[in-house]
Amino acid sequence: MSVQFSKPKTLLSVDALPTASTVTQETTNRRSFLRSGGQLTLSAMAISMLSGLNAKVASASDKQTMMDIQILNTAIAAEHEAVAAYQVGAESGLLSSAILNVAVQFQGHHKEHIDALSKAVGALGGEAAGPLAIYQFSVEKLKTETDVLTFAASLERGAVSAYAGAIPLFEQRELSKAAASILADEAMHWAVLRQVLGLNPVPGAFFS
Amino acid sequence: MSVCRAVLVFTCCVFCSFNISAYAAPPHYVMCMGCHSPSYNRTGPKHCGVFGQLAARQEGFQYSEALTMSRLRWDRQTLDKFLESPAAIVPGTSMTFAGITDANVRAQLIDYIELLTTDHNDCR
Repeated sequence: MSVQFSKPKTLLSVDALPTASTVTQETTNRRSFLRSGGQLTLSAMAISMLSGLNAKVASASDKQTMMDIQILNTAIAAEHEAVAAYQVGAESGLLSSAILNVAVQFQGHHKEHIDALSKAVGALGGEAAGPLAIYQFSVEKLKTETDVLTFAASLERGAVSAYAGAIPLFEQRELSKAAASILADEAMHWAVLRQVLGLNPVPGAFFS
Repeated sequence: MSVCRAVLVFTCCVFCSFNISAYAAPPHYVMCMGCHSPSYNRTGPKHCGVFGQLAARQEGFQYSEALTMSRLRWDRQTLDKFLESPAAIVPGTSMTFAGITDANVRAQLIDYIELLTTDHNDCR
């Protein structure tokens, strides 16, 4: 079954991660601090990535630069798919409000990844990939919140592998660094989703 | 009688476990799932029905020009080389993945892809 997907709407603002009643205000503040720090890190990463690439614009016809653009565009395509998948999950009506907030936050991260990667493609003299008109998700299999979270977790796990497989291919170290930063974010999404699903959030020491 | 039953149960268990291991996706398939699904096109094309076919011939997916022009056929040997280093086999491929160095892992993935025909559970 395919799903017609249009440009995602902003669903909700993300005010806080879900917290149990026993969680202290101090913990909440720490979470807020960490979240702000994460956003700053991503912005700094994006700026650093772009500044490092400016000198390369003149050589956009280089074979390796074209390869870098191809790698970035494959990543952008996957990020667009992630945004669409979270939209499907958010609109499924299966997520509790607390989980929905987290899903929307994660979707926002994927949008930020698209922005940063697209700017990098532009800096290299390329054209960033756009979203597909239609994404084919097996929505008929999504019947419970657990189904949606398992689906999201599988996408995030796959994204970790995709970035791990792409990082060694970049010619420019700045791009590898940026992709590693995004990989870390995807891995955190995966771990959080596994935790919510009652699984070991970090089931191993190495991942490929 | 009880011996016969024990043999029957044992045989059934061996047969059933063989079927499960033969048909389920191997754990390493998660590496593919960043871009691929068995049953539907994603960032990468679906894997059902790919084995034995010419590369870049599935309808509904926009392949890179490089793969379209490659004239590769997805037999075991070609898949093995491609999975080891996609960009080395097809320069310009949009499968921007460094590759899988472990031959045993590649073999497990190819075993699974070979089984992904239209009657496979993962293709429905």
